[in-house]
Amino acid sequence: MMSLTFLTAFLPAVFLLYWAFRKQIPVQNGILLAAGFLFYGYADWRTLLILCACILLTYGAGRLYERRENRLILKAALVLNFLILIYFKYTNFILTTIGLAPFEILLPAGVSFYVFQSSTYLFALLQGSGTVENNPVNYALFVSFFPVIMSGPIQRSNEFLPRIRHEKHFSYEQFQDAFLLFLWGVFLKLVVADRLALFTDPVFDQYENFTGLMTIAGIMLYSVQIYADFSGYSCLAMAVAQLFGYPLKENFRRPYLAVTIADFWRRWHISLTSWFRDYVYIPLGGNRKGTFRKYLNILIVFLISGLWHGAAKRFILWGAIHAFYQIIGQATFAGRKKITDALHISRESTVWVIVQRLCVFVLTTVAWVFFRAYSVSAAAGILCRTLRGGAFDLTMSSMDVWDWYLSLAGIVIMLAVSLLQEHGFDPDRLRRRTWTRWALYFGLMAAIVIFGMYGPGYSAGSFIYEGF
Amino acid sequence: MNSRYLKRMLNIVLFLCLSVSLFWLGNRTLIMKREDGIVTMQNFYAQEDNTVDVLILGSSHAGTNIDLETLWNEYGYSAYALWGSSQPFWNSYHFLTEALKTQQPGVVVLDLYAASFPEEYADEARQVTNTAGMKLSLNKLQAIMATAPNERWADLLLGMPVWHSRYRELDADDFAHYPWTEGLEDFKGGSTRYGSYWAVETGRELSREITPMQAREEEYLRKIMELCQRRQIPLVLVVTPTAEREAEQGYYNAACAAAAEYDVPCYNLNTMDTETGIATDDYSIDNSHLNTQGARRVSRWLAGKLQAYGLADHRGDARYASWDRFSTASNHLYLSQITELKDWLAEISRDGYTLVVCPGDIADMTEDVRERMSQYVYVTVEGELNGKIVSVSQNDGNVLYLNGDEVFRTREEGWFFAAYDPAVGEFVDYAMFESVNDSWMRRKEVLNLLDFQ
Repeated sequence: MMSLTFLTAFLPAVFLLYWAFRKQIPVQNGILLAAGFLFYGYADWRTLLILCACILLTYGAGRLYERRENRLILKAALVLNFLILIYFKYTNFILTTIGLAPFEILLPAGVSFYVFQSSTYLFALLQGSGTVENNPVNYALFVSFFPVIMSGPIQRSNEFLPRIRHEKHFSYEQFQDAFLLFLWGVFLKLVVADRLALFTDPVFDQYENFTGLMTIAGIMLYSVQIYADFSGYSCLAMAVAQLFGYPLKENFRRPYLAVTIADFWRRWHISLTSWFRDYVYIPLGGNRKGTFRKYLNILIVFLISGLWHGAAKRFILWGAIHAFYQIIGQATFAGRKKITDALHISRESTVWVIVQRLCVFVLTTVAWVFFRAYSVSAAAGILCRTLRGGAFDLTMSSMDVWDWYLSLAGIVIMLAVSLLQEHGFDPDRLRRRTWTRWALYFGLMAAIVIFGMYGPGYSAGSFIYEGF
Repeated sequence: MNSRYLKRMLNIVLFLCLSVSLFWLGNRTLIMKREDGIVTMQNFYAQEDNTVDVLILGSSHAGTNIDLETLWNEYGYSAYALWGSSQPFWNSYHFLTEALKTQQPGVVVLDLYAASFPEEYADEARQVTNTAGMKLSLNKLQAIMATAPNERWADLLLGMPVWHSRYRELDADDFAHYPWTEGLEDFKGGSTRYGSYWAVETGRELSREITPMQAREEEYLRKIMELCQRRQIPLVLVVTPTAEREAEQGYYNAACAAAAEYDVPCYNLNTMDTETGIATDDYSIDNSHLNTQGARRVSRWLAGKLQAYGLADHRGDARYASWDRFSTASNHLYLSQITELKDWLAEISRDGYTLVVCPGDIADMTEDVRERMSQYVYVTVEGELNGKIVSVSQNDGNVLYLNGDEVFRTREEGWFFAAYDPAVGEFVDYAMFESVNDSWMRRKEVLNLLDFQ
């Protein structure tokens, strides 16, 4: 979504065409659907067939269910839908795990996202919270809405389909917001995330070459990088969706300001976390069936979440670590509360909140090592490396002094924005005043154009979460 | 339309104008200030319309093997070398197209080195230097499309993707190349080089066989000839002398054969050493570039050929004063490049500079130089230059005063020389030379301590 072709040709063309047919909802939906198919099939048309299979399966199941009213249809469609995901994403993982030779399978980009998104439709019908969509264009648009098809946020059918059916209104203010959000997303990606990758990539890929302190710096900066990268993409998706009259819910709510791991997951990749909560955790019994079942359910959810992120043991381990954090956190909560009460530590005090936030940051950072390292043993090696001493020698990295200053500046800006938002600052106040809005526009544009990581020899196209 | 919508429209227009302006300003600041294609093209736009009589196109050979200062000072020809490093003919063609938007040269001279290029595209760096200096236009777009495969077009057109990370290395010069910067017109694309380091392949019979040029090179060579014919501008094709010759000879033969089809004169100076006087090793700084002495010889030969086109002598014409300034700056630069004393003294004499000498031990000076020194009028210890009092002092190094003000100070002891250009009323070079052997003295690196105060 940051390629020149997308920004200068695809997006303006679709935008103008879409709003040229204002009030003609079916035409607008048709345009967005065609745009979605073009966007998705541009890199590899074969992946379009898989997307269409997913759409036909879930749409057809809905229509059949409407006629026969047999819930088995929906359940069977759900299973088949997940089988699409399992086949394309996990077949080789399963084969290699059981010692068989893998074979070449096409991995469709965004398959994890659109399979989960389309399944919300079947779940909604099963739970009785949604209605059958009869219009195939509307339904296909719901699954293939191009701003979110590659990396989310995952939309819910009972929220998104009604929007598709209703007339959209375009406003100047809406455009202003979308533009600012888009610039912010690009800034996070090109200026912060991709610059940090200059340092974190070698730390993770050749950790043997780094001292303990440099490794610690590397893994901590990776925590910032993945946040800037993925939240940057979410901003782009939200901004582009907004241009077409689709306001999306936020996908990140300042996760590193969380005070517990559970709080972290209420703020990180919210659309996925809530999907797991509603369609896995609660159906498994949630916290209604006793403490042991609750902990087991947490473990199951996070193991699946880990597997969803990637077909590798390290992702499963990453999920397990987060489950472990949550279980330990909940199991020791009463004890920890007693201790803080006994020590007269106010749990609302600024110092305590900062301590908690730091703890969450450190814990999630340790977990990210498994997420990012190329294998479980490499992750273990990296963590062992952090226990060693050694100098904090910036010359070991491939970043020069400018890269360090700019990274630091980017992190400070991100933190400042997060803190302002956390304390209730309304960004609308900036938009309302022309000079502040323009200062933000030009400041962000200049930062992106001059300090962004792009140009020959650098591909701006790949987002970390596009791999899922 | 109500006032709210009008205000919004104005806002959008203003925003777009500001964005484009800032992008342009950033581009202009961050672009590499390379004189092998980029500045060469940028500063061409600063030339007054219809003042360039001799337009020299081509690769680095066009930029170094022809001395523009000689064409101006000795013949009064206003020449501009619009060249680019390893420039293929397609870039020369688009440079020519660009040039003809504002200039109507009396003659175009095209260096033929590109005839020997086998590549479909130049390397990525040269793709940049041969297009980046051009103003945004349809011609630039066509130049980019001819220069690089399509995946590079956007980068070359926008520019920023290529050089935006230069923010790390900006210096004062990066802020001195805006269209409103004074003196851009004094740049004429030529440069000077001192030294001779390469043995010339002379005395060999060069091949007369024709080696076909790379198809696109031939296509664009023909386009250049056709464009000049359409615009009724005489074109002269030249292979400027190179030290190594044999490998390209077949391509040059092919280019001259193509030129014959258009009745365009084509001179291969590698086969004309007697006429140009480049038969010795004294004039090649590397395998394919001449030093300034060699370029001066080629320029004199070229000027002889150009006389046939009725070019005017513009010396003394106020419209062409920038060529005077270029010529002066070029001579100053060349003087500062010279490392051997006898050449330095010869250049002082040629340019009519006054020599100021702080004498050292006479034993330090070679016999040859002692003899040469006797030929020069020079100031020692104290004298008058253009009504200004010049004095020298040799206490604890060498110090030079002009009207009592220190203009140069070094702690180095020995023979110290300064060149004073009466035309500009300034010292233009300071040098110390040390004996290397019995026959020559070489320039020592000396610091002007005043620069560090």
